[in-house]
Amino acid sequence: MTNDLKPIRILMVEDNYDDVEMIKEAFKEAMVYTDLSVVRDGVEAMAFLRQEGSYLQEPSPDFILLDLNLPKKNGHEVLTEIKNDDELRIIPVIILTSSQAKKDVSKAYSQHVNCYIAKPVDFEGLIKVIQSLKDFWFNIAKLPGR
Amino acid sequence: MSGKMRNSPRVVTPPVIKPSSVMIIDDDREICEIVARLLRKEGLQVQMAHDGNTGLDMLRLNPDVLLVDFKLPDMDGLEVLKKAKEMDRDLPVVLITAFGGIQGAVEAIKTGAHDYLAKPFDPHEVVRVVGRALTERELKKKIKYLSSQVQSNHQGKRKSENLAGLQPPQKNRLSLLEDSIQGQVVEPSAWAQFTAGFSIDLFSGLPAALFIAQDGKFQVVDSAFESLTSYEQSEICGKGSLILVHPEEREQVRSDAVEMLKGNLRHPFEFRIITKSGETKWIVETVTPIQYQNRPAILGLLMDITARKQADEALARSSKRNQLILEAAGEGIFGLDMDGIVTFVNPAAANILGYEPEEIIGQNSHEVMHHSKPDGQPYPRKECPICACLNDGDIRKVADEIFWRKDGTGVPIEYVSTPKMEIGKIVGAVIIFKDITERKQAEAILRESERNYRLLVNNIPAVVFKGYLDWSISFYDNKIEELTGYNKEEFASHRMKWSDVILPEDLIRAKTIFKEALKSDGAYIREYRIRNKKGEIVWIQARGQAVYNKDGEVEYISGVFFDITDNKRFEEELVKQKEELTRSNADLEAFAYAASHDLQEPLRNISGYLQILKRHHQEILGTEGNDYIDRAINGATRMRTLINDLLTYSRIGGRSNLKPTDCQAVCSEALANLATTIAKSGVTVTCDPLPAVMGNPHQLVQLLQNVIGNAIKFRQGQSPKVHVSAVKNGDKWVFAVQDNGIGIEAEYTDRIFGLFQRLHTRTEYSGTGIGLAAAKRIVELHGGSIWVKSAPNQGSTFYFSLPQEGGGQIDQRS
Repeated sequence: MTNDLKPIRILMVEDNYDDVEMIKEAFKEAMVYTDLSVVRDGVEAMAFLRQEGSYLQEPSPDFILLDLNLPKKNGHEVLTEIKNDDELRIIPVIILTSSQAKKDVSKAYSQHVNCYIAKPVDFEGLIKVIQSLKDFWFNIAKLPGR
Repeated sequence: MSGKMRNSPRVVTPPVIKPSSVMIIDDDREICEIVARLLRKEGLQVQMAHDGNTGLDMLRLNPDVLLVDFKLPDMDGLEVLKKAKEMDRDLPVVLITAFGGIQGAVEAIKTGAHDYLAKPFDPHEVVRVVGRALTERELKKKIKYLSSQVQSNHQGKRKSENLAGLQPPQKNRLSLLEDSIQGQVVEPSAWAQFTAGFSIDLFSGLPAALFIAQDGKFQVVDSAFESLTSYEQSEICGKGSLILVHPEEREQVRSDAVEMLKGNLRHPFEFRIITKSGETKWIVETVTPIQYQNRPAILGLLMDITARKQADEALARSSKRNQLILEAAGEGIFGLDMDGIVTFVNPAAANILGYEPEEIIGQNSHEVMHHSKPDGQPYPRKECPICACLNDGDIRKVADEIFWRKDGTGVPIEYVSTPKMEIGKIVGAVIIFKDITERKQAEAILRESERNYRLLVNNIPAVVFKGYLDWSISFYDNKIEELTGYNKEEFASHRMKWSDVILPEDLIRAKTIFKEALKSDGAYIREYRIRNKKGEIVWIQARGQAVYNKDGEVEYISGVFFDITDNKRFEEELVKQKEELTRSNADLEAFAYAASHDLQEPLRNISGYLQILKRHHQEILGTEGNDYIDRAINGATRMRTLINDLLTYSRIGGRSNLKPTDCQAVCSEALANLATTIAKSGVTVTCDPLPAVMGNPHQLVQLLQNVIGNAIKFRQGQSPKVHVSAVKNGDKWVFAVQDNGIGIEAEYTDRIFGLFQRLHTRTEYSGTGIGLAAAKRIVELHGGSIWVKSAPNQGSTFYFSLPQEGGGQIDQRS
């Protein structure tokens, strides 16, 4: 609650627009004050983070929500690039994906993901997840950018 | 030398000096002519008669030598010999005998024949025998003459009457001789003159030496004696008469001389002397008893027959050698006369043919041993090479015929028939033959082995080759044409080498393999591609073995080529299939991944937005609207469960590594996973101690979980129970999961293991119909089977077998 005045800058990398809307809805339901930027593929994500092209004015996000199954450059590749980049690797990356494959989970953690969350099957579950995220990351944990 | 020329002008031809004459009695006019021609060439006169009586009549002509055939039309040779001897005791008679007629010859010699000649003649032998007889004849004549002279002188007859025409010096010498014989003292110088003249005049043309010996000592010798022995008269006179004789022969000479003097030995005897110069000479001696200086003495005549002896010895050696060769020869040898009659046969020939030699001699060879061909058909003489040889005199070599043995069996032989020529005329033939039974057998064995080898070479699905270090190559049959399109002649011509057909990129490796092989035992297997005549690629496997010569160098390489094109194609196909399989597995995995992600996202959106709708507009929707939304959400949820179960099912498999797995632990894990379900359902689950099996632990957990879960699901009654046990059956463990649930009708016991097969509606029992299908799949992947025993309301027992620890036929299906 200490940071209520300033919205949490979140970059969501998600190609499914329906999911984007539902997650936005869940944030609303969870009462999280966010500045949510959405990009639709891995290449866009990297451009956004490196402030390239049209993202020249975009500030660095506090938080990245990353899907794995993405066009052009998938989530694992984006994660690897972020974690190999001296400036970007301090940004917490949460993978939020529909994959529950062990392979994906272990691969993500081996690339130093901060958290791996399988998308809940229903909206109620999603609200709970977002609630938990808010509680842990935005209230309990101390983020580098804030 | 004595001064013979000084003292003796040549005067007289003594009565004995005239061309010697030879008489031949033979009914074979041709032989008569041949012999006559030979002898005339030697400067002799020849008379001929063709029967015994005529011959005897003609003896009036005083021949010096008589040749008589053994068989004459009117009498036999021995009879002629006897009659001739009656007429002229000193006439040398030579018997002509037929082949092998040695016995007759011996008989003839006993009867007084001088010698014998065996047909067919060796021309040199004829001349030599006649020459020898003439020598003897001359000697005898001279002794006779000399004796008669001495005798007549002694009897007081006038020497001049008997020696008509002799010039005074000779008379003087003769009287000198006479004087000395009568015991008068003769001056040595006078004696020298006498002997010189005597020798020259009376014995000119003959190398006869004269001596007189008395009391065993030489008393008088002539100049011919001096030249014969190299001793001067003065040196030798007074020495023992045997001094010149070869030591080995002294005894014999002494006793022969005694016998001759007694009149028991008529023939001159032959022995060796050693001259003063140490030379050994062969001598023929005739001795006559005389009175010398009124006491008994010996008049001796010596002739040098060394040359003749040497010739005889050479001949004897040669005939002995021939005889030895004949006896020892492994080849059969027999001789034929012009009529095809066997005249001689060597032991080997007799042995091969199963006869005693005397059984064959005198028989017609064609009739005895060559009458039929190998197939038993008669063998006409006009086809017979031996008969042909007798006719035309050409040598015949025959490689494969049969001679018939005494016992009627045939012996395979090869032979050479060589004509026997006498003075340009065929007189017979000699056949040299060899028993080739063993060779024939060996050939047969070789042929058989060759045939087997060919059969083998033809039948094995490979091309047998013989290769060389320069890559030239030869083949035993034309299978190479099937392989390469080139026939074996194209390779044999050396125009083409084997390296010409091998693909260049494969040749280097092939060479390397061969080099490596030479470092060890020279055996190698290499595979490479060749380009056949049509330009197609053929895969070859070559298995070869280097064959070394005695110097350890590679002489050639023996080996076989296999066409492994098909194998290679299968191999390639297999690799391709494996790749395809890997790809399809990867596709499947990608599909499964996509299914888990992409199929679920829309479902999540459906249920998610339905929930948002319900949340935001619950009141507007009313009871009915909310109910519809709930149903839609349930459908989406079921769909997601289906997808997840299907994914789980599709992930079962792969070539899971089976390892010893403790089923006690597996069961515990399965029960832990089912803990909530078990607690909710109130089912009592019990377990016997379970064995270790070969298996994939994760799959086995799922297996037990599914089967136990299924039993729990279909429970009934107040105290539902599930019991897990296992018994050993052969090399497998059979697990049983027994329940007291609703049971299954017998007709459905197979169906329940099918994918999506359900026996009940979802309202009765939830589930996707995948659990038992997955269980079946897991069991089968472990090489086991699963089945159920059940009846409605009697409960069910599910059985499945798993390989025991350490065993395990692994089903590779995936």
